[in-house]
Amino acid sequence: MNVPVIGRNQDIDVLIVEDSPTQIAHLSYLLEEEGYAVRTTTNGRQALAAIRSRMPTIIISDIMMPEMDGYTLCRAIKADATLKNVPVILVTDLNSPQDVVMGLECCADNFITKPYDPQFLLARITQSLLNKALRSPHSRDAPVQIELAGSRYTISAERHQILDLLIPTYEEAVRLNQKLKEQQQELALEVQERTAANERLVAEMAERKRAEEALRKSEEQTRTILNLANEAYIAMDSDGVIRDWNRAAEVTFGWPREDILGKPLVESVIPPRYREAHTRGVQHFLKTGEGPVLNKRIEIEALHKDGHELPVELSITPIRLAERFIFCAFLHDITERKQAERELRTRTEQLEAANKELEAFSYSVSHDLRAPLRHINGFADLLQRHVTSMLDEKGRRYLGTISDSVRQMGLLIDDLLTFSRMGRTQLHFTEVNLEELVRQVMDDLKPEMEERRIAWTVGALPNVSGDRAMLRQVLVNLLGNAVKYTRPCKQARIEIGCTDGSGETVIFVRDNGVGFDMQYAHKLFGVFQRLHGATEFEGTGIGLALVQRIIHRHGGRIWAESAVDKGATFYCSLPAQVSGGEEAMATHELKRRKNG
Amino acid sequence: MANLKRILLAEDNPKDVELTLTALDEHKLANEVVVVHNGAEALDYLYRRGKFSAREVGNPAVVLLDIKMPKVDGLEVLRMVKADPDLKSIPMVVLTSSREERDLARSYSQGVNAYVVKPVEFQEFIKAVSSLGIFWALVNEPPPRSAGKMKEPRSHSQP
Repeated sequence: MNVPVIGRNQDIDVLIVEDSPTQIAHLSYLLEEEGYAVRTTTNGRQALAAIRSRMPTIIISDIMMPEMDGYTLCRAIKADATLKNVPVILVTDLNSPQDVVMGLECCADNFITKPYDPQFLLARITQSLLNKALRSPHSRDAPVQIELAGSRYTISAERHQILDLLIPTYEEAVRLNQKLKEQQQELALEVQERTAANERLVAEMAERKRAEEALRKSEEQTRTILNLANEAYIAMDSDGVIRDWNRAAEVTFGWPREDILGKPLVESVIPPRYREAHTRGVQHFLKTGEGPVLNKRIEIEALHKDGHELPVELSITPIRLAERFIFCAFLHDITERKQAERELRTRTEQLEAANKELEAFSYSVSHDLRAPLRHINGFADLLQRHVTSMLDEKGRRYLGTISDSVRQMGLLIDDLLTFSRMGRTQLHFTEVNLEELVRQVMDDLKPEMEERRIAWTVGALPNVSGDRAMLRQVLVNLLGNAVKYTRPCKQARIEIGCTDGSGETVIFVRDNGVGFDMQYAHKLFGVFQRLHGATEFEGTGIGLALVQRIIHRHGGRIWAESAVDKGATFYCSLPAQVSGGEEAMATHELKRRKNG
Repeated sequence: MANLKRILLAEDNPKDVELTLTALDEHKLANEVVVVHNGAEALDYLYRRGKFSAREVGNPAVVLLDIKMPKVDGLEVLRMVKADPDLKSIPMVVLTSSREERDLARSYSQGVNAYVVKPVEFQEFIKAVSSLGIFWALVNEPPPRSAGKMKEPRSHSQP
């Protein structure tokens, strides 16, 4: 067998048959790059003419062309004995089995499927040229009849031609199959990804829906709570526009929520005289973060829809939302409180005036009432001296009665003044040693105890916080009473002691004296109230009223237990911390008002 | 006895004057008691002006001063006396019905020498007043400057 010799590519004359100029340009470029000599024609008829004028080495032909298509051209070449050995490569879409059969029928030597790979195209050309060289000019198979899709075809192509046609067809099929598989895999992958993404999306949407639902519920809850609140709630953004307005705000200011939302705050609830200051304050806060009225309770006047002003107590808190501020204000109408405050102030002033009058009154009692009394006493005494020899027993008794009455009235005035003073005088709190105070008072009472048999029992007494002079007054009265009302006893017993209650100290003074009937206990501490006759036991009826007043001013209580002829026990309690006493609080209140 | 200095009694109520004089008399004090009926008269006496412009020179041994008096009250007299370098050494005794704290406080803050509340009981009143008289007029040694020294009327205090 002769080894086929293929010359250099420039000796190979390639005839391109193609009606598309871009395809011609593309193919020509490809082949010329490889060094082939290239001729071009645009249809089968031109191609036949070109072939007859000069025999090409190989023909590459398109199929669909005007005037004469590729199949007809190929059949004409293969039918011509002088031309039949020139290999014809058909460029086909290879869309259907008919394409293959038509190719075989027209005895094409090879196929190239569109779109073609340049390397694949060049390999086909080389292969076709090789086959041409190897081909025996004598071998010839009988034509074969085949039926395809209802048409009959006579295939006279030679075996090598069929192989050449089938192999690229199969190759193409395998290639396409492979590509298809890859595409399927890619598709499957894509489908998988898409599915996963889809699922994610669905999950996200569900989550978002849940979140939105939760948010909606939360907002609904917040709105319900805000609407239930007694406090009016107003939210304003940093442009001064009202963003929220609850039901209490509707009631307080008369503006329905839907009418006020979106309106500037400064033009609705802020009285004209405060508007400039309000705007300046907001600007200042946004610039510096300083707001002297923020985050604290302030009292100010606000404007109702109907134009009247109302005092409100409010607190404003700025909340940062993203890059903006929302100013939240809670407030309530304090008209009633203000009214009450005004009334309280008026009443306090009236009370203070009344107190002053009372003071003036007691001063005048102290000075003016005592003077005539002293005169009566003095002149009665002088009269007695003057006429003593002229008076009989009766006359002396009259004068004595005058003196006694004057003395009694003097005591009464003195006690009344002490009582009044105890109510007015400021308390001076110090630590008071009760035991020592009791000893001192017992010493003071010595004159009253002359010729008396009294057994004293003084228990351990604590130090208390209180006004020493006033507590002394308390002891003088309680111990004095114990001494006085045990006078009929042959052996008097007086006991002073202390019991520690919860948060208070309770002092008691117990005697075995005449006692009193408990049904009159409520009268014990009243001014001028006496449970014994003046002839029985002397007294002005002021002592226990005074004791009660002092104990009350110390924040304590006083009470008594007794039975007729069974003695009496008086208890007074003092708070452990006197700062809790009403007097202390009143003093504090007074100071606060003075300072404010 | 001519050397005994006077006692000045400033008291607007004639009954009190009588009782006070009786009380002072009880111990037979030989000092002359000059009675004035209000603060203005008391100051006239001390400054030797008005109806007292002709009085003999010299500060009293003691001034017994009621607080509540017409025109110028006792506390005002006390304040002026204690503010005057020539008068402030005179013993000033407030003799009053008032036991009010503020009267006490004001009296002491203005330099009163004694504060006596007139007792209602006449016997006690006698005791109190007479012991006052004895103490200030007889027992107490007056400051050297005022002893027997004559006080000249001062031109600037003339009305």
